[in-house]
Amino acid sequence: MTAADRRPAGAVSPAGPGPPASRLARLTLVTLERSRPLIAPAAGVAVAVILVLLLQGNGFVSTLIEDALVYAIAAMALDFMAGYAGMISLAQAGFLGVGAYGVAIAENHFFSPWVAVGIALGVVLVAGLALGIVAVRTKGVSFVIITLALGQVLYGLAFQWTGLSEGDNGITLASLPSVGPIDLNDPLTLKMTVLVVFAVTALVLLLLVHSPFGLSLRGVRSNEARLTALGYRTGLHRYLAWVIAVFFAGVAGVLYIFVNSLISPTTMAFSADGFLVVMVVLGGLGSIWGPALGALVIVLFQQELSTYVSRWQTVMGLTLIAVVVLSPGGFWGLVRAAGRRRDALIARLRARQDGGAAPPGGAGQAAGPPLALEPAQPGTDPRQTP
Amino acid sequence: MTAAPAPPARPADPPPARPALVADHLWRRFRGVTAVADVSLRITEGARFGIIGPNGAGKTTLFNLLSGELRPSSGRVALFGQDVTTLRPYRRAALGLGRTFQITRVFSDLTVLENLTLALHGLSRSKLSMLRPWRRYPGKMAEAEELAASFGLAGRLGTRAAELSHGEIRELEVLLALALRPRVLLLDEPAAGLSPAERVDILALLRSLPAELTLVMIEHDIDLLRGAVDSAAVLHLGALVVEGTMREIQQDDRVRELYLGRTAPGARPGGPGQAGAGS
Repeated sequence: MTAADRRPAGAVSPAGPGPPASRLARLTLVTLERSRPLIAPAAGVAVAVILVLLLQGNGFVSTLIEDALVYAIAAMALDFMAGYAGMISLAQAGFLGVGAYGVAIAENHFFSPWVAVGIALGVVLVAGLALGIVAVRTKGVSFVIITLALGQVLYGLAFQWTGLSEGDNGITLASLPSVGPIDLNDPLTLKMTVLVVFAVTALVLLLLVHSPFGLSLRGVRSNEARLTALGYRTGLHRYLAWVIAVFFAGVAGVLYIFVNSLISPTTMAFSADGFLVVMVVLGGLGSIWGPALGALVIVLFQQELSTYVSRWQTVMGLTLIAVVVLSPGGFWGLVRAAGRRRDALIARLRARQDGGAAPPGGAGQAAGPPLALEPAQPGTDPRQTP
Repeated sequence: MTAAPAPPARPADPPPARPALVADHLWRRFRGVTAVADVSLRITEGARFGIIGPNGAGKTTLFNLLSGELRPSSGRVALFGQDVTTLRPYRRAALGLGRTFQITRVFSDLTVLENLTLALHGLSRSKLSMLRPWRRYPGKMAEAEELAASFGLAGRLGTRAAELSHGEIRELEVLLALALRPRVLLLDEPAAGLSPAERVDILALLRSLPAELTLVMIEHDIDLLRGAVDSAAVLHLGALVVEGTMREIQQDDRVRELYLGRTAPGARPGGPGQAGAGS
């Protein structure tokens, strides 16, 4: 009894300066603040490592990821146009097909594989530049309809210009390019190449999105008339966004034929255009990584779910409805919401600490580092460049 | 740019300057309805000019003709002596014409900082720059902060425009136009819906504008107008009824009848009820 009495008394006094709860709060705050700038790069590295490891295999998972990465390129590019500039295109799979057919047709006409890739990308670029003149004249729903028509024209060409495209049968690709030690005919090399092209595409798009040009696209989506009054030739900005998106669809098409060795009109059908839009919406409009997640989910549905459930498209539709209702920002919206919640928590902890810190400040606890971090925190923005 | 050495002199003491903005027999018809009928204006450089008139008088349509949102059915618009009748709004902006909108137009999905940054890039080649993050333009960032601070939005840089108060959105709208450093600024009812305190703020801002700036504003609030402009034109049913100094306008019989007299038939215009002509 006496010993038990003494012990709590002795235990309380060292903890005296601050209640344990506040110490925990301070620890949480410091951890959150310090980890804030590290989370994104760490997650990126982790995902890259996981993808590299998964792609080593020969089985179902590696094929799935390979296909998903190819579609992710086209979906990210589509979202660059749709999510940022507000231009939802139903022709993206069509341009993916142009890229794929470009390689296949050029190679069948005795061009070397590398030249064939160059020709394919050139054709996509020219097609994008030319059709963009028509498409960019319209906005909103009209743009969707115009791109739907353009996509169907491309599909029709693939289907009916049998002399060039071999119609319904499609074209197979005999050999893939190789340079030095990098031989794309080797499956693993091809998978790694797809991963690298995916990463480069994502980084280029991220760079674009954060540039003044990217900001102008968000301005176009938000209020085009105002942007015009501020001196922007908005038609040019939309045109450039279209050309960039189309070009990356072509890049995805080149990888598509490398991966599948076959291109047929089905790849460019209306449903394929629709799937790309679904990937974007599911993943999150107005983000770069979201559509990549969306592509992964849709390809998983197409390849895996379809073997178990014949009505897999119903499942996909229900999933889409659930996501749109529960998280209008798509999968990536959840990630962003988590980030915002974290920032709000930081702000709350910081306010509490600053408010109640004055008396326990006597504890002299590491006041330095949190203060140094402070300017970046209150959630406004990290634009501290002098 | 210029340090504005003295507060802009408000009486009409600058020597007769060359015209900044000229409207020459402007007409605009919408399916048989004439919105602007034969309006001619000659606004000299550095002038402070008001446009008043009952609702539906064609004021905003006239603004849209001046800024290029609409093409006139006939007539011409000239900016600093250059015929701009067929130029699109962005080209006119490049020639130094800035404007705000009656129905406020800011980029609501974007933060205040992003709004201002867009405006600051508007007239520079950097608006098409694709590789450098927009946050890494220290000059533009500093300018944006300065602009925001000039109007009490300094603490709101990270706030989405949609979350601003009505008054703050109005302020942002004016700042967007000012960010272009326009030589001619068209303000379409900048004080609409503002509280009396906010009206004082906006008047102070308008008075602090550089003297060489040409200001044309549509406004219903006669008190604000008297503080901000020297002369004005009155529009009615699309036609220009009177043009003159504010004193002349207020004493003009036709204006009283049209604008002030209608709402308060017996009222003497010595103390004009503000924004009286609501109908």
